[in-house]
Amino acid sequence: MPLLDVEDLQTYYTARGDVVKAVDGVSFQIEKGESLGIAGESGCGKTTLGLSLMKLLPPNGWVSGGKIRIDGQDIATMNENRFRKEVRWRKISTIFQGAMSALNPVYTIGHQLEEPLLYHQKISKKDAESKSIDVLKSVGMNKDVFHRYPHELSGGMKQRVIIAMALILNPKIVIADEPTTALDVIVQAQVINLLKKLKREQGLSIILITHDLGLISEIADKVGIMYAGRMVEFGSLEEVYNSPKHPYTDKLLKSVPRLKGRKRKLEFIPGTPPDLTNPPTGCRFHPRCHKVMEICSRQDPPTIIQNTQKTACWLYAKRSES
Amino acid sequence: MKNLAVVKNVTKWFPIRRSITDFLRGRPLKYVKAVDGISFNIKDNEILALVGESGCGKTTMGKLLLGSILRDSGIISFDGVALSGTGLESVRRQAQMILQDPYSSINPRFKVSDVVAEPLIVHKVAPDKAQRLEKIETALNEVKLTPAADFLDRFPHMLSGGQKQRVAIARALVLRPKLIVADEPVSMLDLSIRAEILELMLSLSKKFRIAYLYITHDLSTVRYIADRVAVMYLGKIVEIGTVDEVLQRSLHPYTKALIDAVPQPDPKNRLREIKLGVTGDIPSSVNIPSGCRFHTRCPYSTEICETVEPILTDDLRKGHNVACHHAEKIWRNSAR
Repeated sequence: MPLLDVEDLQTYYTARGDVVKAVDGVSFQIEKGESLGIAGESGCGKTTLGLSLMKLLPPNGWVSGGKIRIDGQDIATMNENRFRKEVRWRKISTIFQGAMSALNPVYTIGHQLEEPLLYHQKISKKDAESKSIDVLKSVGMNKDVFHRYPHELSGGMKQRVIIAMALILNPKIVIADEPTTALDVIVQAQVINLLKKLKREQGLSIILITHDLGLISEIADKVGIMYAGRMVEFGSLEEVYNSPKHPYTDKLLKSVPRLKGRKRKLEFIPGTPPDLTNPPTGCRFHPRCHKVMEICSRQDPPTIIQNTQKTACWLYAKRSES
Repeated sequence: MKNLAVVKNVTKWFPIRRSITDFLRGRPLKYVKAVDGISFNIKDNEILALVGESGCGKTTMGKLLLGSILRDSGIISFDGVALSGTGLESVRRQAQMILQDPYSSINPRFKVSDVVAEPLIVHKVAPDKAQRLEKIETALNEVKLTPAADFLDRFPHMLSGGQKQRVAIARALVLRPKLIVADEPVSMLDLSIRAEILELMLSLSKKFRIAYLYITHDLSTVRYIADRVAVMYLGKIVEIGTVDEVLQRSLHPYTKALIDAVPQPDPKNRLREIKLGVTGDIPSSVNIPSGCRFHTRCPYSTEICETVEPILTDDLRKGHNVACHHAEKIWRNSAR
């Protein structure tokens, strides 16, 4: 049984009377201990996907269809009370974006770390403190941080605290949405190494949501590329990075400036992502695609599976028919 | 090629407000030493990248060069004219700026035509309306917002992020400047359009012989746009040279660490840790460490580093210079 099984997930928002189909039929699975990277341009629905998994959608958003199973249990239809008691933070937790603002400035780090322990588990204040200190140590921090306030910590240290908070109830899955955007490169590298260590030593499954394809290759075992609410390509890191099949993935990889190796001309994708209240017909990428064919604008592309790589593109369907 | 801008030993310290008790106790004023003795040149039509972590003073340096804030000491001259008093006005006309966030650097109540017209009005270029419109349309065409007539009456909220940044570039371009200071011009943009904007900046530089000071924290874009690169750490330049020299044969341990820390899209990465020579965070620029300012984080640090401040070498190798006591050792090691 997969650890996380998302099947045909649809998450919609209402905005000024229109329905925005932010996530529109996304399916994927990850096994225990596997990490997933989700990439795409802004507005492709990757953050909404993360929020759907945590059931933290804003009031104007809702999951309108599909299934999300964690350890076989469907959480898409579970009511909020039960989800909060049994799943959120215990089985699936999140590292919030923007370490600078995610901590409450008027409470000590210790107070904020203990809170979920005291709420979820019937344990004494003393046990909660020792557990919190253990978690602080596991993210490479000194135990006296427990008594400090957020303003006394640097950006990198705050980010470590945020990671510690996500781990406090030993979840199996942690969603990290742009976990390092506010950090400098050297601090970012330290945080990446920490996530690698947690993955290796605790078998944590990290769902990394980012536009940074370099970052994904540091953490993820599997990669999903999203475009306009759809998963256009999904597969192992090696498959997707070494032999991208979808023209969007291919262009995206070629647009990354590289610091090492041969200097190639950077490519870019003309145009902008579509308005999701009124997405293009057929393949949603067809107006920007350099390999567009006549059929692309008429019909949704089929998903072609090769080994574990799934690609939603007409290019490969045609070949298999003929 | 002649030097367009010359910066020599420039400093800029910002005082921190003292609390009333500190004042009464007679405690001295403290300063953020944002720029603490910097020298470099930008040649005609050259693209110099200024790289460093946040808080290293790179943005302050850009503002000093434009004369939008004034230096405490040192010399800045632009096209042979010293940047002070009467010299300021001509510099402000010939040097323009592109900022990081096009969502906030463009007035949301201005139409595109008003945004691009602003510099023309301020500097009293093309006072006649028809002339101005012609210049605006030309600038929009040059940044590939075509047909220009379609964009003139649009408001910023009707544009995508990439288009907004093009408007910002058009605004900088309309006065035909000799220098553009571009402060993180692509870091807010989506990956797929970053390359497009960089490409545009590069082609404009060639076409109009514009020099750039390209300020960024992202070393990987530097390689695609810049001719030379200067690496800053806590208000000082620690290494400067051509892009190939600095990125491929870096001599300063800090430059090396910056290069190693950038994650490259390579599937092999997930199986290994990022090798990092340096530890900890960047110290505060109020209490700058003694000696070499990098010694608290440096893997090569020895006794001399704690007490003696290294100075930037003078033409060590093909214009490649470094401020490090151990540069020679590092050079020999890398040559092996």
